Amino acid sequence: MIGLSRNSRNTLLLLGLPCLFIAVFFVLPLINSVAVSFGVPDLTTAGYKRLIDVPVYRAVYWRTMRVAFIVMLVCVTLGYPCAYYISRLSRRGRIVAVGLITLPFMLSVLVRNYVWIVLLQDTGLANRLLQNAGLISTPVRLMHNELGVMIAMTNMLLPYVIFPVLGALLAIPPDLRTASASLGAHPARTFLRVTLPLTRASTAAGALLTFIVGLGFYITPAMLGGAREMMISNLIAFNVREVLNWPLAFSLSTSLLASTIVLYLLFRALLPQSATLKPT
Amino acid sequence: MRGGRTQGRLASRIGRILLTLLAWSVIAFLLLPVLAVIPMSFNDAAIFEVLPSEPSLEQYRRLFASREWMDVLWRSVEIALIVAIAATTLGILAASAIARLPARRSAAVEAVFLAPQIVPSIVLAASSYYLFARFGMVGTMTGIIIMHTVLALPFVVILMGSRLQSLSPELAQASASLGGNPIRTFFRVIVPQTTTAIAGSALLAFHVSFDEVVLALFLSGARNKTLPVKLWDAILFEVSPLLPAISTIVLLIPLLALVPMLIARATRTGQ
Repeated sequence: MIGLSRNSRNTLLLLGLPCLFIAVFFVLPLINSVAVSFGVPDLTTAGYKRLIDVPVYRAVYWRTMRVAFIVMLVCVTLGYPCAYYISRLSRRGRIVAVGLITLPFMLSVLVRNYVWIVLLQDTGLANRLLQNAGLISTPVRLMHNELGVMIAMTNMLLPYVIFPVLGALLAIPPDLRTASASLGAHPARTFLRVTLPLTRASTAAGALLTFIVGLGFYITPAMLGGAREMMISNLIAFNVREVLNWPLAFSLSTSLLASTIVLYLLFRALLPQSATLKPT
Repeated sequence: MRGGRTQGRLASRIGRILLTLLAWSVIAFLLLPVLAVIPMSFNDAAIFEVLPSEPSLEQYRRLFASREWMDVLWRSVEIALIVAIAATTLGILAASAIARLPARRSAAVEAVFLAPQIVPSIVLAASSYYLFARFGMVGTMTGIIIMHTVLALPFVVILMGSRLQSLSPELAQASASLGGNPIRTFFRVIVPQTTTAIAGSALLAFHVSFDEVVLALFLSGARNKTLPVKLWDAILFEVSPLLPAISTIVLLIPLLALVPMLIARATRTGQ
């Protein structure tokens, strides 16, 4: 430490303990799991080959990607108009709306999922309402299938689109809209030619974030999916807790980790200054 | 010409109404879990209903009388308290260091501390379980506390980081130029200015730990279950009508914690 200014030395001292903590209890386990997945010390990609060869594992991958993708589309479709509406509210209205949207995050994540069990089960509120309205005669299976999982995931991931889009919409100078209108453009045209392009990056970033977080969901598919509706996280958990197949579990988790990191770097490229928060 | 314009106006009027309906439907959809949980907890029937036919406090009575649930509740509180202290301390250290670094290096270091947020919980849970099993730390409260601190750290770093950034450097510089050493500057100058952020960080860390499911699921053994783990078991394996009452309480605790914070902020801005 000779040769460092006192300032730098103090900074390093401050960093020492937190860095050590993160290195030992975060970085180390992750590196170790990647190593195990490659069969260290006998370097092999056998574990990864199995992921591609075995149909069941391929199906799990495909299902996870598909579910996360559909949820992403739904979130953007519903979230963008919602954010647009909020951006047009008065300042107080915006604060209320944002507060309401943030409120569910205070609820335990288990509860947020459990409520959907009660609502979507065969004797649940949704089915009873549909039956009372005469739309169906026997209960529709809304749970223990992909539909229930997607409904609950959409519920939890919508804010991840709404907030970035709202931020971008609010950042558009109001003069632009006025200028466009004064040049004779119909509001729809203003939207398509002015607003939409200016919010493209944030929308893409929000969608991407929804997808990334959706890939890693564990609790929702476990509670609302059937035994056959496993997503990647559930398969990892199964291999760790039931079967103790570490190489396979870590091959799965390393591929999930790699996808997450790559997509997240893409997200940061689109939206450089955000700090993210995860629900599950 | 005029007919076209009137049509246009009607169309945009309808569009606006539809937009309003859609937006509020989305918000209502988002609020559905929050709204449903509370009436559900006043239900004593064996079937799950959202609006109970005979409201009663039976669920709450049974909850507080149950030794198991109370044990688990206090254990979670204990763990969360320790995590709050540990994460806030480590987070303040890290955030202070990051605030002192030049732009590019601070971004890089910050990224390291924010990484636990990006990594999927299951990945971290499986990885840490593997290592902790080697050292016999599975099923210990220490293991859970450590990993919860890892998870809570990014939240503290973000919160304290943004607060430290908005501090004016002059006070700290004045203190240094008057001969105060860095530790003294920290406690006498920086801490008093950031008490709200520190309190907020501790609360946030508490919430992260109290609420956390996946890591606790892997790292708590049969004996050291946290509240979320017991809730998880109950949801998946039992059909216990106590659930909604527990859920409401779990909702109330963070809300209760939020109240003093809001009051503190209101009194500050009211001055």
